[in-house]
Amino acid sequence: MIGPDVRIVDLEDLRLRRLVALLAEAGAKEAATRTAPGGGTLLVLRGPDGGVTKAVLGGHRLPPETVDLPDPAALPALRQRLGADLAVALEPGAIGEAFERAQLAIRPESPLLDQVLAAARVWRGLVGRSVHLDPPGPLTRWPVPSAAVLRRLVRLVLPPRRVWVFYALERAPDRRRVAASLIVRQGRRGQIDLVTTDAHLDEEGLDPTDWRRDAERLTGSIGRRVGRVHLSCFLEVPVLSELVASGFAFDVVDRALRSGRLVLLHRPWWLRLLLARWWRLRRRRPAGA
Amino acid sequence: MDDSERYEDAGAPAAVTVGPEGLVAGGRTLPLFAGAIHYWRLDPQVWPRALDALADLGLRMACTYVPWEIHEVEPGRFDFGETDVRRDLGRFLDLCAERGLAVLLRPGPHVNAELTSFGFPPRVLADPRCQARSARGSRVLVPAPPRAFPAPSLASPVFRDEARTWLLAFADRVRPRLFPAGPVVGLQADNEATFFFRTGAFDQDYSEAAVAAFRRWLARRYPGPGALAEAWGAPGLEAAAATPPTALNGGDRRALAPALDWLRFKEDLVLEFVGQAARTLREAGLGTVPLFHNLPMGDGGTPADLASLEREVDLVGVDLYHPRQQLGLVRETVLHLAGTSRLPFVPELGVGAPWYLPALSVEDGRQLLLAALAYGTRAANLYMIVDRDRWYGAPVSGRGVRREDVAGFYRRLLGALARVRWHALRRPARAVLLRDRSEGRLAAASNPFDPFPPGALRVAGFEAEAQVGEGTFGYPRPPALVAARARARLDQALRAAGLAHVFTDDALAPGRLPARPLVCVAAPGFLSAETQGLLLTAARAGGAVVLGPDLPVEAEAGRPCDRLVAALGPGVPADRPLPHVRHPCGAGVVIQVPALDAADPAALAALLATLGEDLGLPTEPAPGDAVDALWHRGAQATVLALVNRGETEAVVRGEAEAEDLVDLADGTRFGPGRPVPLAPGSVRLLEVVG
Repeated sequence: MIGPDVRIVDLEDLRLRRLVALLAEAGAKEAATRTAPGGGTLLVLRGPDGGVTKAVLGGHRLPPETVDLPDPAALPALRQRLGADLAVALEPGAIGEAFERAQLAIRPESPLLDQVLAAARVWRGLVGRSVHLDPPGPLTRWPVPSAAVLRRLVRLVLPPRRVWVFYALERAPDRRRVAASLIVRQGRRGQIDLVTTDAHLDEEGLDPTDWRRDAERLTGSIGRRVGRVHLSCFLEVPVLSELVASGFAFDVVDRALRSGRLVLLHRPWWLRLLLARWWRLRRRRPAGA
Repeated sequence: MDDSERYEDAGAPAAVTVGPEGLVAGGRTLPLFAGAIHYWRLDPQVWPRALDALADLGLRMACTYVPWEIHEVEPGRFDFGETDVRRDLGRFLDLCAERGLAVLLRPGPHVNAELTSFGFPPRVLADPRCQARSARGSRVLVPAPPRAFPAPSLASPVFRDEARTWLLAFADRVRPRLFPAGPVVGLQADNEATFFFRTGAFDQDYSEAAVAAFRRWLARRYPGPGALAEAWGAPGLEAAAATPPTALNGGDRRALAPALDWLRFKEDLVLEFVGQAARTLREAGLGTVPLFHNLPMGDGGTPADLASLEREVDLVGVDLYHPRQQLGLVRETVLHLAGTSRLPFVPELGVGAPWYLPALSVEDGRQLLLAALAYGTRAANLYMIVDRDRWYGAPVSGRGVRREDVAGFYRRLLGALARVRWHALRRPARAVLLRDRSEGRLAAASNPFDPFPPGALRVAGFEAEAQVGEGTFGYPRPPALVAARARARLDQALRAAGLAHVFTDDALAPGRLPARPLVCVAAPGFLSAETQGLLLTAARAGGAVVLGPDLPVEAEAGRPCDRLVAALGPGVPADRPLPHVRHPCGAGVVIQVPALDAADPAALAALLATLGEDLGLPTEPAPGDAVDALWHRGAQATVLALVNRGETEAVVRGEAEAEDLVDLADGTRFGPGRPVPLAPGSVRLLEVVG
């Protein structure tokens, strides 16, 4: 994961901001299809006798006497009644306990990955005991992997001294052609040591007439100046929105690849494997399914 | 500045001082508008070009951190360019001087600057003798990416000695380049001194050194025999055996005493630490230029004590990094600065943002600067002007090249600010919303989310009522909740009454109150002796005080204190425009509104408007519910600031016979009566011309 001496340079506000905005916008569309009206997070603090001592919905105080939660099992019903997206109920001392346990579990000399996993494990251990969630997050569904396993996985996906390249492009001739970009390099010791954008390349741009051809030149340049490219992904902005909104559904990926609006110039073995498996599954799928 | 508060360096006369319009150097006022650049993060070959680009924006002052971690090559040995040209601070300062740029330096010892260890050498952080501790004895970690690290203890003598060694080494290098011999016109003593953002009441610091310091503090606070035992309701307790509280678990008002003392001690620990850093710099011969300090955004309460900190250093400001959706928080912060500091200064005003905080767009940065100015900022350090590692959005790239899409706005605005002499404009405000800090401590101690930092809750959008506990502690109603509500009503009513007002707290020196003011304060059953003293000063000088719901007969934690009540004449009840009781007091009046926390906003506004009229207070009618209008006037210019804090577009229409209004940022001219559109979360600074 990210190394302590990571360089994060030339993020170029526009590129980064647009990427965040594009992802958020697409994510919001997706979220809008599944969340209840009202919205916001409901926080309920329970006292030693099971009564509610504090309740907050979307940052606003709710009178505790109007929020009844004698049993944490009733949290889903309470969330529904108040129209909250997420409900969190905390037993007395839960926040202090979480802080203390996390502090004991996190070793300051450890890499960020280990620190994050240690904190996740603490959180996981509290859920269902002094922390109650509705709906339960992904953390409660799966065990927290060990740092060693995750590190091996990360090294498979992005081996040391290799680079990931991501460009989102706008087609309109009167607008900036590179809408968003991200270039990430895995360091020699297996921790990300560089995060940057296309601005790092001294404004080396894309040919407006054929960005696909130019993408090859660009990845070549990145290979020389940043590091050997492991995965490079170029896509058009609407495709990014569709991908996120669909939860990266294979059909959308497939359609974008076939139409040339998504270009994967460097496909590492794991991606080829994944794509092949998708295609195989698709062929098996009965027509109309 | 009140002369009684001015720090006088015994050794050398000040070459630079803080004045109401900026720094005063060589008899000349130097407006305090600086741009941040981190020399050690740039290729030294880029320094000249980057400084030229900074100056080209219209800035006459550069500002940089000088990180301990970067310059220490081994314990006690420092490199200032002898082995690594990036660390050549002297050459960087000489380049600034060649360009006529004045310089502010920020040597820490804490710098943050998004460095992995916030500028501390990792060896210092790893030393258990330097570490802060939680109530259960674990290391307190600062969860800042890319790696959480142990927070130092401000009370640790080992940590302080280490920091002193660094500051003295820094002083040796900088002394020859102080004004007038060199470009350095100001120094920052420490940085964001609020326990490294972990401001929860019972989060830290329970290290051996901090507990010992707490006991010494208690012995000073309760000098008489049995005084501590009496105050804490613990028979036989002496300071040497007292243990710091680790939670607030109900009980009556006397049970609050240990918690409130603990928070007061923590505030004093911060003051003392910053004060020691300042003393070290002064003793090392750097006291001829002003020392300043910055408080992080989001910390409007304990332990950040702006007024008291300004007795340790010459100037204290608050950082701002808010997106357009949070202009309400900008308003609160800057109105507090304007009502409290001797020069409303934003030491870090976000131009771009660190990589790990919520994204701040170019437009967010523009509106943030405009809003800060609109609410009364007279001095600012634009952070960052030159891009660097772990940052984005600066107007000058890390290669020293101007990014026109970002830079143009700042160049135009800085030019306009210089032309209208923004630093010399004034927004006359004699209405003050005062916060009782003991009530603030109670709010922090009763924060039900402790140890989660209250400041983070505020930035996350929690309203004041949502952040406080609901325990009554023997009062008829939850005092923290009552105070939060009453304060919100007063702010709303002052605004509705069209009274130009600012915020402050009871750490303000009485001499700093405006003449014949209107002072409003939430009094939830008690008020500190300091607050009561300020209210008396205001009323006796012919001002008006509005408080409620209670008339205080005690200070915090049930300590008897009838300083205010004893000075009041007999009360005269009245029903209109809402039930209240008027008490004569000296040449002024004290008005109690018994149902203040539930008062009808319109009726309360009518009461305040009448008082404002009687006192001849300046008015600033607000054009809409979420639109503020603030007037800044000076000898050469008048500027109307319009702020739309709402989520929908607003249109403000001026008087048909009024003068033209010209937007300082983009030059748009609005003729008399022409509508002025305001997008959601946007600000216009309009010069009145013609």
